[in-house]
Amino acid sequence: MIPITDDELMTYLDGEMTAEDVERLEDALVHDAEARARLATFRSIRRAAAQAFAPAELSAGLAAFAESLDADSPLPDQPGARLRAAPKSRPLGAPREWLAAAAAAAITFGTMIALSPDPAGPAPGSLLATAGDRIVAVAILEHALQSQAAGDRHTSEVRIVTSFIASNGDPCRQFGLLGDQRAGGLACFSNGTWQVEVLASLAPEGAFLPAGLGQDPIAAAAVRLGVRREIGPDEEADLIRREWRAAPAPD
Amino acid sequence: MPKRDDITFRRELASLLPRARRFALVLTRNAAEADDLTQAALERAMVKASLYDPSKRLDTWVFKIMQNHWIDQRRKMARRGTQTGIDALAFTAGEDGRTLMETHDLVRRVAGAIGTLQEEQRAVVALVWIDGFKYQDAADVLGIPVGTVMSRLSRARQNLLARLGEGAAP
Repeated sequence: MIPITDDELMTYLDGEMTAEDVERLEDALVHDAEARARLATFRSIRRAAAQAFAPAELSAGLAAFAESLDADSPLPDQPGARLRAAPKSRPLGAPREWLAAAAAAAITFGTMIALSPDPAGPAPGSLLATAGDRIVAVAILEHALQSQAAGDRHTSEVRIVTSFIASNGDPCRQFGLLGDQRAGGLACFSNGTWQVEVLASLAPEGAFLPAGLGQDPIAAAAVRLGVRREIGPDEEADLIRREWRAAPAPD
Repeated sequence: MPKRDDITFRRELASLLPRARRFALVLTRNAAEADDLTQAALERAMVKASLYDPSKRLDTWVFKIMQNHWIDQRRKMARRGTQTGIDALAFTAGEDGRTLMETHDLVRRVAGAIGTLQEEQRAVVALVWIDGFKYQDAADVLGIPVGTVMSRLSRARQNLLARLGEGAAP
């Protein structure tokens, strides 16, 4: 009996064998339990890969881009014409829609970071400090929350994902930490500081987590805070200008 | 008014978006980068629409644009010294969530193992195993001979088995 190779089994699973070779291989497999076991292993791995990478729900930005593709406007006729601004400036609509997007965006976050407030103040390089019973953002995290536009992720180690008004009226922002910190969370502006409502670590590098294997802490925090509405780019720019203070009441 | 063909082309592009994004995710291993790459590739496809040969598969053409754009991006990032972190992937349960939950441990380990493969091996795995491309179509996307697709798949399989270990055999 000629041994059945792994490459033959993979070619068979990939549907790339000729009909003649398929018949020959299947005849041989009937008499080769060891090869059938290898085939079962390869089939399981292949199926697991397909399941792990099942097409995901699109992020809000890409969903908006898909809508723009469906629109009955002409194709851009200039090479390099950019459509990216349109999806980013598109209002996301109902808070529920935003929450779904936030949950999808935040699904990469895994276990909660244990926050250990240091009464002596933040250590050098720390992004958090205690203020009474609250945990507030400091250093580059505070700076980004205060002054960085959502979606602008090439200007610092912090990426602001989105901004919204919570049910109590406070402006809140979802952020991600790039580089070594590999974490993200939600912070809300209250009493002149950015109070961190939740902070979650990213899964370790190389650890790929399928969805549904744990509740996403950032989405859960957004639900707890309540999302009254998303803050659009214009309002966000205005709030950054006013250092996140409420607009003066009209006369 | 846009021509009817333009509208059809754009809608076909829109229908490709979830698959294109999945390919981008395997290439970049970073959800935000995958979104950017997907959008950039489809924008390029729209700009180059007049160059598309309708007798060829649209998905192969778009994926090739994406692959080339990603290579360009990687070169620029390397020149700038920019590094992108590897996200845990934004997977979904797929259509059969029950099946996934029953086998989620294997799914998680296989996904993690794929993430450790070299980029050229991840690309062929994404195209052939995950998206069901034929070897010839994967070769067209990647601009390599069919034999190279097969040898990369073979190495990917060996590396995955080594990474998963004997205990992972289902």
